[in-house]
Amino acid sequence: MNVITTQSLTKKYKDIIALDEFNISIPENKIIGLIGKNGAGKTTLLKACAGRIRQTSGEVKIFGEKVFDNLDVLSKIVFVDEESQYDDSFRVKDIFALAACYYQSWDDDLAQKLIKHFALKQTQKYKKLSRGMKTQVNIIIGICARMPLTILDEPTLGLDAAVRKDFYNILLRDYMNHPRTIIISSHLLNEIEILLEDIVLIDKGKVLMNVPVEEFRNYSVALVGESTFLKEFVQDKEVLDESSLGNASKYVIKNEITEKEKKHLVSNSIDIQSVSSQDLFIYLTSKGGFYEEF
Amino acid sequence: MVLEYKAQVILDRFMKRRYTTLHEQCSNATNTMGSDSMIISMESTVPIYIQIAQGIENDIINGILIENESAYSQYQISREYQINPATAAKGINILVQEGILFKKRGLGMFVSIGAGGAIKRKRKEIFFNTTIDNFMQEAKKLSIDKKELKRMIDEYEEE
Repeated sequence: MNVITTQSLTKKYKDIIALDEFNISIPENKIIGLIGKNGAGKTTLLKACAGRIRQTSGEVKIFGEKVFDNLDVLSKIVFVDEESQYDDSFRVKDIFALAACYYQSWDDDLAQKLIKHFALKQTQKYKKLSRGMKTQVNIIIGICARMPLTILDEPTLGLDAAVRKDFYNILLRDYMNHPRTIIISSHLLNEIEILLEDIVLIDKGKVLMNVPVEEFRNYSVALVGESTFLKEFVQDKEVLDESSLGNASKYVIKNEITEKEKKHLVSNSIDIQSVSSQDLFIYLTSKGGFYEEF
Repeated sequence: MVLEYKAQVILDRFMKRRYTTLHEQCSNATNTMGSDSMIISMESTVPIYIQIAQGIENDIINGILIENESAYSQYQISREYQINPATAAKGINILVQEGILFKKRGLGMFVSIGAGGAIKRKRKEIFFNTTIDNFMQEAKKLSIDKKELKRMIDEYEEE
C-alpha cells in the first residue's frame, strides 16, 4: 500500500510555483530521504503531505485519503520542522505533556529516556532554549510520537556532528523496533544516505528521481585521465560534469559503461572513480559553467 | 583561481580515492576480529549490500563465523553499522541465494556446511579474472615484463 500518492499536485505562492504538477508514490514502512536545493519545494511538499497547507490544484492522498482538514488521517501523521511554535509560557515538560495527549501511540518511556540522554531541562522555557536544544525537543517528539507517517523536515538543524550521529542511531533503532514510513529532508545527504532505503530528488517543484539509494550511488562514475582520449570516449555518453587541468580531464558520466569499455579505459590508464551521492546531487541540480565567468 | 580550485578538487579526490583503495585492501587482508572485520566504505564503488555480503564471507573464511552455526541477523548488521535494515537484508539475501547462508526457522541465519570452500572457489575465480587482470595492467604500465614479474613473485616473501 502506498502511504503517499500525489497527482499533478501544484502549489503556488502568488506567482511562485513551489510544486509543479508533482507526481509521486511513497510505499509503506521505508525510510525515505527527500533531497533538493533550497527552494526546490521540499518543505512545501512535506507540508502538503502533513495537511498543513492546501494545494492550489491537483491531489495529495495519505493512506488513500485526502489529508487537508481530515482528522482521521491527520491522527496518523507527525510532522516536525524548525518552525514549531509553542506558547511563550511553555516549558519543556509542558510540550512533552501536550505531545503525550496528542499522539495516540506516544512512547513516554522512550521520551523520558531521550530527555535524560540529551540532558534537556524540563523546567526551562522552550523559547529560551538554544537552536540545537529546540531541535532536540522536536526530534524527541518526532520519534516518540511513533506515527505511521513520520515527517522530519531538516531534523538536524543546529545540532553538532556528535548529536546528529546520535540522532540517526536512535531513529534507526526505533524504526527497526517499530517499522513505519519515515521521510527525512536534509541537505546532508552524505550523512543520512546510509539510513535510507529510497531517495527522492526534487528540483524546481518536480520529481527528478525516485530510486533506491543503491541505484543513486551507482548512477554515475568519474573518469580521470588524458584529455584527448577522454573527450573522444565521452562523445556518446551523458556527461554530468567536466573539469580539466592541463592535459588531464575529469568527466562525470552516467554509469552505463560496459565491462569491455571498462577494460579499454583501464588499459588506457584512465582512473574510474566513484561519485559520492552528495556530489551527484550537486551535479544533477546545479548549472555548470558558472565559475568560468569569474 | 578557478583552475587552482579545480586542481585542488581533483587532487583531493585523487588522494581520497587512493587512500580508500589502500584502506580497502588493508581491511580485506587483515580480517581477524569479528566486528572490526567488516568495514563499510561510503567512498567505494562497491554497493553497500555487496560490501555487507563480502564482509560476512570474510568472517566465514577467517573462521569467525563457523559452518552450521548462527550468522549475523539483518538487525545485528543494521545496528552495528547504522545502516538501513533493508540494505543489510539485501546483503544477506545474496548469500542465501548462493547457498552460503540459510535460514533456520525460528533461529535465524546460519552458515551452510561447505560455505568456506564455496567462497574460496568463487574468490579464486574473481582473483583470476579481475585481480590478476588489474595486476597485469599495472605491470604493463610500469613496463615490467613477465619474466621480471615471475622473479618478483618468487622473491616475494610471505610474512
